[in-house]
Amino acid sequence: MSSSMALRDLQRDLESKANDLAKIQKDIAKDHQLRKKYTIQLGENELVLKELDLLEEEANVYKLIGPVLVKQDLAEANANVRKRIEYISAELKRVDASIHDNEGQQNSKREAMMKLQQRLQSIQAGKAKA
Amino acid sequence: MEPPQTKGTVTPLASLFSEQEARKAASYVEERIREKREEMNRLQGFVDENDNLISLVKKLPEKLHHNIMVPFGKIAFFPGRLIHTNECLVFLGENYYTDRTSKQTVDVLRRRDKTLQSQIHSLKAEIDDFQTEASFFANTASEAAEGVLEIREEYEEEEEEDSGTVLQRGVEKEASGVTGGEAGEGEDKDDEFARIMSRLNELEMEEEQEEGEDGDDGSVEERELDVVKGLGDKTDDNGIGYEESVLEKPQYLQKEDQPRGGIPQQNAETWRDFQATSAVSRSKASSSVVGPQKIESPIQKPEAKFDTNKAFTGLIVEHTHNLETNTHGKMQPSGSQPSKPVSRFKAQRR
Repeated sequence: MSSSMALRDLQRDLESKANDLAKIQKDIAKDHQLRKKYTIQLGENELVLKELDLLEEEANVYKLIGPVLVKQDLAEANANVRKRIEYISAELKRVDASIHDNEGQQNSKREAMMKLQQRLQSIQAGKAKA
Repeated sequence: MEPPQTKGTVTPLASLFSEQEARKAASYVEERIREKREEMNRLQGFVDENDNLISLVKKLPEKLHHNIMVPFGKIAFFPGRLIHTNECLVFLGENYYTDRTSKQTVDVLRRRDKTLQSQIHSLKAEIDDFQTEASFFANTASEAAEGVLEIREEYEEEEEEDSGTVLQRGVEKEASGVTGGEAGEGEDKDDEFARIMSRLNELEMEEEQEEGEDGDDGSVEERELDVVKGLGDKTDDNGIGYEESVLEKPQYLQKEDQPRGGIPQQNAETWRDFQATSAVSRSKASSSVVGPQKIESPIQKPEAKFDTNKAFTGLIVEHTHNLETNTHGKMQPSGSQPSKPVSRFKAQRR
Protein backbone atom coordinates (compact mmCIF):
# COMPACT_ATOMS: atom_id res chain seq x y z
CA MET A 1 0.00 0.00 0.00
CA SER A 2 1.18 3.45 -0.70
CA SER A 3 0.72 4.49 2.87
CA SER A 4 3.05 1.78 4.16
CA MET A 5 5.57 2.76 1.50
CA ALA A 6 5.33 6.33 2.62
CA LEU A 7 5.73 5.07 6.15
CA ARG A 8 8.91 3.22 5.32
CA ASP A 9 10.25 6.18 3.41
CA LEU A 10 9.62 8.38 6.34
CA GLN A 11 11.33 5.95 8.66
CA ARG A 12 14.37 5.73 6.44
CA ASP A 13 14.46 9.48 6.28
CA LEU A 14 14.30 9.61 10.02
CA GLU A 15 17.17 7.20 10.38
CA SER A 16 19.39 9.10 8.02
CA LYS A 17 18.60 12.31 9.82
CA ALA A 18 19.39 10.65 13.12
CA ASN A 19 22.76 9.57 11.77
CA ASP A 20 23.52 13.05 10.60
CA LEU A 21 22.56 14.40 13.96
CA ALA A 22 24.85 11.92 15.71
CA LYS A 23 27.72 12.91 13.46
CA ILE A 24 27.18 16.54 14.11
CA GLN A 25 27.05 15.93 17.80
CA LYS A 26 30.33 14.08 17.66
CA ASP A 27 31.86 16.98 15.81
CA ILE A 28 30.59 19.33 18.42
CA ALA A 29 32.05 17.21 21.19
CA LYS A 30 35.42 17.13 19.46
CA ASP A 31 35.34 20.84 18.97
CA HIS A 32 34.60 21.29 22.62
CA GLN A 33 37.63 19.23 23.55
CA LEU A 34 39.79 21.21 21.20
CA ARG A 35 38.48 24.37 22.63
CA LYS A 36 39.33 23.25 26.14
CA LYS A 37 42.84 22.38 25.08
CA TYR A 38 43.35 25.73 23.45
CA THR A 39 42.01 27.53 26.44
CA ILE A 40 44.44 25.77 28.74
CA GLN A 41 47.33 26.49 26.43
CA LEU A 42 46.37 30.09 26.22
CA GLY A 43 46.31 30.35 30.00
CA GLU A 44 49.70 28.73 30.27
CA ASN A 45 51.24 31.03 27.71
CA GLU A 46 49.92 34.04 29.44
CA LEU A 47 51.47 32.87 32.69
CA VAL A 48 54.80 32.43 30.93
CA LEU A 49 54.57 35.90 29.50
CA LYS A 50 53.95 37.30 32.94
CA GLU A 51 57.01 35.57 34.35
CA LEU A 52 59.17 36.59 31.45
CA ASP A 53 58.18 40.19 32.03
CA LEU A 54 59.33 39.90 35.59
CA LEU A 55 62.75 38.62 34.53
CA GLU A 56 65.58 41.10 34.52
CA GLU A 57 67.52 41.76 31.35
CA GLU A 58 70.43 39.32 31.53
CA ALA A 59 68.57 36.39 32.99
CA ASN A 60 69.05 33.16 31.07
CA VAL A 61 66.05 31.76 29.33
CA TYR A 62 66.14 28.26 27.95
CA LYS A 63 63.75 26.51 25.67
CA LEU A 64 63.24 22.77 25.75
CA ILE A 65 63.37 21.49 22.21
CA GLY A 66 63.08 17.74 22.37
CA PRO A 67 65.82 16.52 24.73
CA VAL A 68 67.83 19.70 24.31
CA LEU A 69 67.70 22.73 26.51
CA VAL A 70 68.60 25.63 24.27
CA LYS A 71 69.59 28.99 25.56
CA GLN A 72 67.40 31.73 24.24
CA ASP A 73 67.42 35.47 24.21
CA LEU A 74 64.93 37.11 26.53
CA ALA A 75 63.58 39.36 23.82
CA GLU A 76 63.33 36.46 21.44
CA ALA A 77 61.52 34.38 24.01
CA ASN A 78 59.11 37.21 24.68
CA ALA A 79 58.35 37.62 21.02
CA ASN A 80 57.85 33.88 20.57
CA VAL A 81 55.50 33.61 23.47
CA ARG A 82 53.49 36.57 22.25
CA LYS A 83 53.17 35.15 18.79
CA ARG A 84 52.09 31.86 20.20
CA ILE A 85 49.43 33.56 22.24
CA GLU A 86 48.06 35.28 19.16
CA TYR A 87 48.04 32.07 17.23
CA ILE A 88 46.23 30.21 19.95
CA SER A 89 43.58 32.92 20.33
CA ALA A 90 42.96 32.86 16.60
CA GLU A 91 42.57 29.09 16.70
CA LEU A 92 40.23 29.41 19.64
CA LYS A 93 38.05 31.83 17.77
CA ARG A 94 37.99 29.56 14.77
CA VAL A 95 36.95 26.60 16.87
CA ASP A 96 34.30 28.69 18.55
CA ALA A 97 32.84 29.63 15.22
CA SER A 98 32.84 26.03 14.08
CA ILE A 99 31.10 25.01 17.28
CA HIS A 100 28.51 27.68 16.71
CA ASP A 101 27.86 26.53 13.17
CA ASN A 102 27.64 22.95 14.19
CA GLU A 103 25.18 23.76 16.91
CA GLY A 104 23.04 25.63 14.45
CA GLN A 105 23.11 22.68 12.11
CA GLN A 106 22.31 20.39 14.96
CA ASN A 107 19.27 22.41 15.90
CA SER A 108 17.95 22.54 12.39
CA LYS A 109 18.46 18.83 11.93
CA ARG A 110 16.71 18.20 15.20
CA GLU A 111 13.74 20.25 14.12
CA ALA A 112 13.56 18.42 10.83
CA MET A 113 13.67 15.16 12.67
CA MET A 114 10.89 16.20 14.99
CA LYS A 115 8.74 17.20 12.08
CA LEU A 116 9.37 13.89 10.43
CA GLN A 117 8.52 12.12 13.62
CA GLN A 118 5.29 14.01 13.92
CA ARG A 119 4.34 13.12 10.39
CA LEU A 120 5.18 9.55 11.08
CA GLN A 121 3.07 9.52 14.18
CA SER A 122 0.12 11.09 12.46
CA ILE A 123 0.32 8.59 9.63
CA GLN A 124 0.55 5.73 12.06
CA ALA A 125 -2.36 7.08 14.03
CA GLY A 126 -4.30 7.37 10.79
CA LYS A 127 -3.47 3.83 9.89
CA ALA A 128 -4.44 2.59 13.31
CA LYS A 129 -7.79 4.29 13.01
CA ALA A 130 -8.41 2.90 9.54
CA MET B 1 -21.79 36.58 53.66
CA GLU B 2 -21.03 33.85 51.26
CA PRO B 3 -17.64 32.20 51.53
CA PRO B 4 -15.19 33.56 49.00
CA GLN B 5 -15.21 31.43 45.95
CA THR B 6 -11.64 30.76 45.20
CA LYS B 7 -10.52 29.94 41.80
CA GLY B 8 -7.53 27.78 42.18
CA THR B 9 -5.74 24.73 41.00
CA VAL B 10 -4.61 21.83 43.01
CA THR B 11 -1.96 19.84 41.34
CA PRO B 12 -0.01 17.01 42.83
CA LEU B 13 3.63 17.90 42.70
CA ALA B 14 4.29 14.57 41.13
CA SER B 15 2.56 15.67 37.97
CA LEU B 16 4.58 18.81 37.61
CA PHE B 17 7.91 17.22 38.32
CA SER B 18 7.78 13.53 37.84
CA GLU B 19 9.64 11.87 40.62
CA GLN B 20 11.72 9.80 38.27
CA GLU B 21 12.96 12.78 36.41
CA ALA B 22 13.68 14.64 39.57
CA ARG B 23 15.76 11.77 40.81
CA LYS B 24 17.54 11.50 37.53
CA ALA B 25 18.32 15.16 37.56
CA ALA B 26 19.53 14.89 41.13
CA SER B 27 21.85 12.03 40.28
CA TYR B 28 23.16 13.83 37.22
CA VAL B 29 23.96 16.86 39.25
CA GLU B 30 25.63 14.72 41.86
CA GLU B 31 27.78 13.21 39.16
CA ARG B 32 28.90 16.65 38.13
CA ILE B 33 29.61 17.45 41.73
CA ARG B 34 31.82 14.41 42.01
CA GLU B 35 33.77 15.43 38.95
CA LYS B 36 34.31 18.87 40.29
CA ARG B 37 35.35 17.47 43.63
CA GLU B 38 37.98 15.33 41.97
CA GLU B 39 39.25 18.31 40.12
CA MET B 40 39.44 20.20 43.32
CA ASN B 41 41.35 17.44 45.02
CA ARG B 42 43.81 17.48 42.18
CA LEU B 43 44.32 21.17 42.55
CA GLN B 44 44.69 20.80 46.26
CA GLY B 45 47.41 18.25 45.65
CA PHE B 46 49.20 20.79 43.49
CA VAL B 47 48.95 23.36 46.21
CA ASP B 48 50.45 20.98 48.73
CA GLU B 49 53.28 20.09 46.41
CA ASN B 50 53.90 23.73 45.84
CA ASP B 51 54.18 24.39 49.53
CA ASN B 52 56.64 21.58 49.96
CA LEU B 53 58.69 22.91 47.12
CA ILE B 54 58.76 26.37 48.61
CA SER B 55 60.05 25.09 51.92
CA LEU B 56 62.65 22.96 50.14
CA VAL B 57 63.89 25.82 48.00
CA LYS B 58 64.11 27.99 51.06
CA LYS B 59 66.27 25.44 52.81
CA LEU B 60 68.70 24.94 49.95
CA PRO B 61 70.83 28.07 50.21
CA GLU B 62 71.49 27.39 53.86
CA LYS B 63 74.49 25.25 52.95
CA LEU B 64 77.05 25.69 50.24
CA HIS B 65 76.63 22.09 49.20
CA HIS B 66 74.40 19.32 50.40
CA ASN B 67 75.38 15.66 50.52
CA ILE B 68 72.60 13.68 49.00
CA MET B 69 71.80 10.38 47.41
CA VAL B 70 71.43 11.05 43.75
CA PRO B 71 68.93 8.93 41.88
CA PHE B 72 70.50 7.04 39.02
CA GLY B 73 68.05 5.66 36.55
CA LYS B 74 64.99 4.06 38.01
CA ILE B 75 66.41 1.80 40.65
CA ALA B 76 69.73 3.10 41.86
CA PHE B 77 71.21 5.91 43.83
CA PHE B 78 74.71 7.02 44.44
CA PRO B 79 76.04 9.46 46.96
CA GLY B 80 76.71 12.89 45.61
CA ARG B 81 76.69 16.55 46.30
CA LEU B 82 74.24 19.25 45.53
CA ILE B 83 76.16 22.39 44.58
CA HIS B 84 75.28 25.87 43.43
CA THR B 85 72.53 25.67 45.88
CA ASN B 86 71.26 29.14 45.19
CA GLU B 87 70.50 28.56 41.53
CA CYS B 88 67.40 26.93 40.24
CA LEU B 89 66.21 26.22 36.75
CA VAL B 90 62.56 27.15 36.93
CA PHE B 91 60.03 25.76 34.52
CA LEU B 92 57.77 28.55 33.32
CA GLY B 93 55.47 26.62 31.03
CA GLU B 94 55.37 26.01 27.29
CA ASN B 95 58.80 24.41 27.34
CA TYR B 96 60.47 27.52 28.69
CA TYR B 97 62.98 27.43 31.52
CA THR B 98 64.94 30.09 33.25
CA ASP B 99 67.67 30.42 35.85
CA ARG B 100 66.60 32.00 39.07
CA THR B 101 67.93 32.39 42.58
CA SER B 102 66.16 30.61 45.36
CA LYS B 103 64.49 33.77 46.48
CA GLN B 104 63.21 34.51 43.02
CA THR B 105 62.14 30.90 42.71
CA VAL B 106 60.12 31.21 45.87
CA ASP B 107 58.41 34.26 44.38
CA VAL B 108 57.56 32.37 41.23
CA LEU B 109 56.19 29.53 43.26
CA ARG B 110 54.07 31.87 45.31
CA ARG B 111 52.56 33.42 42.24
CA ARG B 112 51.73 29.98 40.96
CA ASP B 113 50.16 29.23 44.27
CA LYS B 114 47.91 32.27 43.98
CA THR B 115 46.66 31.15 40.60
CA LEU B 116 45.93 27.71 41.94
CA GLN B 117 44.03 29.15 44.87
CA SER B 118 41.84 31.29 42.66
CA GLN B 119 41.07 28.25 40.55
CA ILE B 120 40.15 26.32 43.64
CA HIS B 121 37.86 29.14 44.74
CA SER B 122 35.94 29.16 41.51
CA LEU B 123 35.66 25.40 41.61
CA LYS B 124 34.31 25.60 45.11
CA ALA B 125 31.70 28.11 44.04
CA GLU B 126 30.66 25.83 41.21
CA ILE B 127 30.41 22.91 43.55
CA ASP B 128 28.22 24.92 45.89
CA ASP B 129 25.90 25.82 43.08
CA PHE B 130 25.62 22.24 42.05
CA GLN B 131 24.98 21.28 45.64
CA THR B 132 22.03 23.58 45.94
CA GLU B 133 20.69 22.29 42.66
CA ALA B 134 21.07 18.73 43.78
CA SER B 135 19.39 19.34 47.11
CA PHE B 136 16.54 21.08 45.39
CA PHE B 137 16.05 18.17 43.05
CA ALA B 138 16.24 15.72 45.89
CA ASN B 139 13.66 17.68 47.83
CA THR B 140 11.36 17.84 44.87
CA ALA B 141 11.74 14.15 44.30
CA SER B 142 10.91 13.32 47.88
CA GLU B 143 8.01 15.71 47.92
CA ALA B 144 6.65 14.27 44.74
CA ALA B 145 6.98 10.84 46.23
CA GLU B 146 5.05 11.89 49.29
CA GLY B 147 2.29 13.27 47.18
CA VAL B 148 2.69 16.88 48.12
CA LEU B 149 0.18 19.01 46.30
CA GLU B 150 0.80 22.33 44.79
CA ILE B 151 -2.14 24.57 45.46
CA ARG B 152 -2.54 27.77 43.58
CA GLU B 153 -5.17 30.26 44.48
CA GLU B 154 -6.02 33.60 43.11
CA TYR B 155 -5.05 36.22 45.53
CA GLU B 156 -7.84 36.91 48.01
CA GLU B 157 -8.35 39.95 50.11
CA GLU B 158 -8.08 39.26 53.77
CA GLU B 159 -9.57 41.13 56.65
CA GLU B 160 -6.50 41.71 58.74
CA GLU B 161 -4.44 43.30 56.04
CA ASP B 162 -3.30 46.80 56.77
CA SER B 163 -4.31 49.72 54.68
CA GLY B 164 -1.21 49.93 52.55
CA THR B 165 -1.72 46.54 51.08
CA VAL B 166 -5.38 47.12 50.46
CA LEU B 167 -4.47 49.56 47.78
CA GLN B 168 -2.09 47.07 46.30
CA ARG B 169 -4.77 44.49 46.23
CA GLY B 170 -6.94 46.93 44.51
CA VAL B 171 -4.55 47.02 41.61
CA GLU B 172 -4.13 43.27 41.53
CA LYS B 173 -7.80 42.62 41.80
CA GLU B 174 -8.53 44.86 38.94
CA ALA B 175 -5.91 43.18 36.90
CA SER B 176 -7.20 39.76 37.75
CA GLY B 177 -10.76 40.86 37.49
CA VAL B 178 -10.21 41.74 33.90
CA THR B 179 -9.59 38.13 33.20
CA GLY B 180 -12.38 36.84 35.39
CA GLY B 181 -15.71 35.79 33.98
CA GLU B 182 -18.57 38.14 33.82
CA ALA B 183 -21.31 35.70 33.09
CA GLY B 184 -23.91 34.72 35.61
CA GLU B 185 -22.91 37.10 38.31
CA GLY B 186 -25.66 39.60 37.98
CA GLU B 187 -27.56 38.33 40.98
CA ASP B 188 -24.50 38.30 43.17
CA LYS B 189 -23.83 41.83 42.21
CA ASP B 190 -27.23 43.01 43.19
CA ASP B 191 -26.88 41.47 46.59
CA GLU B 192 -23.51 42.99 46.97
CA PHE B 193 -24.86 46.28 45.87
CA ALA B 194 -27.38 46.26 48.60
CA ARG B 195 -24.77 45.43 51.14
CA ILE B 196 -22.31 47.91 49.80
CA MET B 197 -24.86 50.65 49.75
CA SER B 198 -25.95 49.99 53.27
CA ARG B 199 -22.37 50.10 54.40
CA LEU B 200 -21.82 53.28 52.52
CA ASN B 201 -24.83 54.78 54.15
CA GLU B 202 -23.45 53.99 57.57
CA LEU B 203 -20.20 55.59 56.70
CA GLU B 204 -21.93 58.62 55.34
CA MET B 205 -23.69 59.04 58.62
CA GLU B 206 -20.43 58.98 60.45
CA GLU B 207 -19.03 61.36 57.98
CA GLU B 208 -21.81 63.83 58.36
CA GLN B 209 -21.29 63.79 62.06
CA GLU B 210 -17.70 64.47 61.62
CA GLU B 211 -18.51 67.49 59.47
CA GLY B 212 -16.36 66.40 56.55
CA GLU B 213 -12.70 67.18 56.38
CA ASP B 214 -11.80 68.76 53.16
CA GLY B 215 -8.31 68.14 52.09
CA ASP B 216 -7.63 65.75 54.86
CA ASP B 217 -6.04 63.01 52.94
CA GLY B 218 -5.49 60.80 55.90
CA SER B 219 -9.03 60.48 57.05
CA VAL B 220 -10.37 60.32 53.57
CA GLU B 221 -8.10 57.51 52.76
CA GLU B 222 -8.91 55.78 55.97
CA ARG B 223 -12.53 56.01 55.17
CA GLU B 224 -11.91 54.80 51.71
CA LEU B 225 -9.99 51.91 53.05
CA ASP B 226 -12.72 51.11 55.54
CA VAL B 227 -15.14 51.07 52.71
CA VAL B 228 -12.87 48.92 50.68
CA LYS B 229 -12.25 46.58 53.53
CA GLY B 230 -15.89 46.23 54.21
CA LEU B 231 -16.48 45.60 50.60
CA GLY B 232 -13.59 43.26 50.47
CA ASP B 233 -15.25 41.03 52.97
CA LYS B 234 -18.24 40.75 50.79
CA THR B 235 -16.64 40.47 47.47
CA ASP B 236 -15.50 37.16 46.27
CA ASP B 237 -12.99 36.71 43.57
CA ASN B 238 -15.31 38.61 41.39
CA GLY B 239 -13.39 41.33 39.74
CA ILE B 240 -16.52 43.19 38.91
CA GLY B 241 -17.61 43.30 42.50
CA TYR B 242 -14.41 44.89 43.50
CA GLU B 243 -14.45 47.30 40.68
CA GLU B 244 -17.82 48.41 41.72
CA SER B 245 -16.57 49.00 45.18
CA VAL B 246 -13.74 50.99 43.73
CA LEU B 247 -16.09 52.96 41.63
CA GLU B 248 -18.11 53.74 44.63
CA LYS B 249 -15.16 55.41 46.15
CA PRO B 250 -15.14 58.41 43.89
CA GLN B 251 -18.70 58.90 44.86
CA TYR B 252 -17.73 58.70 48.44
CA LEU B 253 -14.92 61.12 47.96
CA GLN B 254 -17.27 63.50 46.37
CA LYS B 255 -19.33 63.42 49.48
CA GLU B 256 -16.25 64.13 51.49
CA ASP B 257 -15.72 67.24 49.54
CA GLN B 258 -19.21 68.45 49.94
CA PRO B 259 -20.20 68.08 53.50
CA ARG B 260 -23.72 68.98 52.99
CA GLY B 261 -26.28 67.14 54.95
CA GLY B 262 -28.86 66.08 52.53
CA ILE B 263 -26.96 65.80 49.37
CA PRO B 264 -24.79 62.81 50.05
CA GLN B 265 -27.88 60.88 50.80
CA GLN B 266 -29.43 61.97 47.62
CA ASN B 267 -26.33 61.22 45.70
CA ALA B 268 -26.29 57.81 47.16
CA GLU B 269 -29.83 57.21 46.06
CA THR B 270 -29.40 58.32 42.52
CA TRP B 271 -26.02 56.73 42.30
CA ARG B 272 -27.34 53.45 43.50
CA ASP B 273 -29.92 53.47 40.81
CA PHE B 274 -27.36 54.15 38.24
CA GLN B 275 -25.11 51.51 39.61
CA ALA B 276 -27.80 48.93 39.45
CA THR B 277 -28.66 49.73 35.91
CA SER B 278 -25.18 50.08 34.70
CA ALA B 279 -23.65 47.21 36.53
CA VAL B 280 -24.41 44.48 34.09
CA SER B 281 -23.86 46.45 30.99
CA ARG B 282 -20.64 47.99 32.04
CA SER B 283 -17.46 46.55 30.74
CA LYS B 284 -14.60 46.36 33.07
CA ALA B 285 -11.96 47.87 30.91
CA SER B 286 -13.93 50.93 30.20
CA SER B 287 -14.93 51.35 33.78
CA SER B 288 -11.40 51.24 34.96
CA VAL B 289 -10.41 53.78 32.38
CA VAL B 290 -13.35 55.87 33.30
CA GLY B 291 -12.15 55.82 36.85
CA PRO B 292 -9.82 58.75 36.84
CA GLN B 293 -12.26 60.78 34.93
CA LYS B 294 -14.95 59.90 37.38
CA ILE B 295 -12.76 60.98 40.20
CA GLU B 296 -12.39 64.32 38.64
CA SER B 297 -15.98 64.88 37.77
CA PRO B 298 -17.34 64.33 41.24
CA ILE B 299 -15.24 67.15 42.55
CA GLN B 300 -17.85 69.57 41.48
CA LYS B 301 -20.38 71.31 43.63
CA PRO B 302 -23.83 69.89 44.20
CA GLU B 303 -24.92 70.56 40.70
CA ALA B 304 -22.15 68.29 39.63
CA LYS B 305 -24.00 65.39 41.02
CA PHE B 306 -25.76 65.25 37.77
CA ASP B 307 -22.46 64.97 35.99
CA THR B 308 -21.46 62.27 38.38
CA ASN B 309 -24.49 60.27 37.56
CA LYS B 310 -23.82 60.69 33.95
CA ALA B 311 -20.29 59.51 34.44
CA PHE B 312 -21.46 56.43 36.15
CA THR B 313 -23.34 55.11 33.22
CA GLY B 314 -21.65 52.61 31.04
CA LEU B 315 -20.49 55.36 28.74
CA ILE B 316 -17.17 57.01 28.93
CA VAL B 317 -18.05 60.64 29.28
CA GLU B 318 -15.01 62.73 29.17
CA HIS B 319 -15.54 65.93 31.06
CA THR B 320 -12.54 67.73 29.77
CA HIS B 321 -13.69 71.04 31.18
CA ASN B 322 -13.66 69.44 34.56
CA LEU B 323 -10.03 68.64 34.14
CA GLU B 324 -9.11 72.25 33.87
CA THR B 325 -11.27 73.48 36.65
CA ASN B 326 -10.29 70.74 38.98
CA THR B 327 -7.96 72.16 41.50
CA HIS B 328 -8.38 69.66 44.21
CA GLY B 329 -4.94 68.23 44.60
CA LYS B 330 -5.84 64.98 46.15
CA MET B 331 -8.36 64.16 43.53
CA GLN B 332 -6.06 64.80 40.69
CA PRO B 333 -4.67 61.74 39.10
CA SER B 334 -1.21 62.14 37.81
CA GLY B 335 -1.68 64.06 34.61
CA SER B 336 -2.14 61.64 31.79
CA GLN B 337 -4.80 59.03 31.60
CA PRO B 338 -3.39 55.77 32.75
CA SER B 339 -3.43 53.34 29.93
CA LYS B 340 -3.77 50.41 32.21
CA PRO B 341 -6.27 50.11 35.02
CA VAL B 342 -4.60 51.81 37.94
CA SER B 343 -6.39 51.78 41.20
CA ARG B 344 -8.07 55.05 41.96
CA PHE B 345 -6.47 54.95 45.35
CA LYS B 346 -3.06 55.00 43.79
CA ALA B 347 -4.05 57.68 41.41
CA GLN B 348 -5.29 59.79 44.22
CA ARG B 349 -2.34 59.13 46.36
CA ARG B 350 -0.20 60.73 43.76
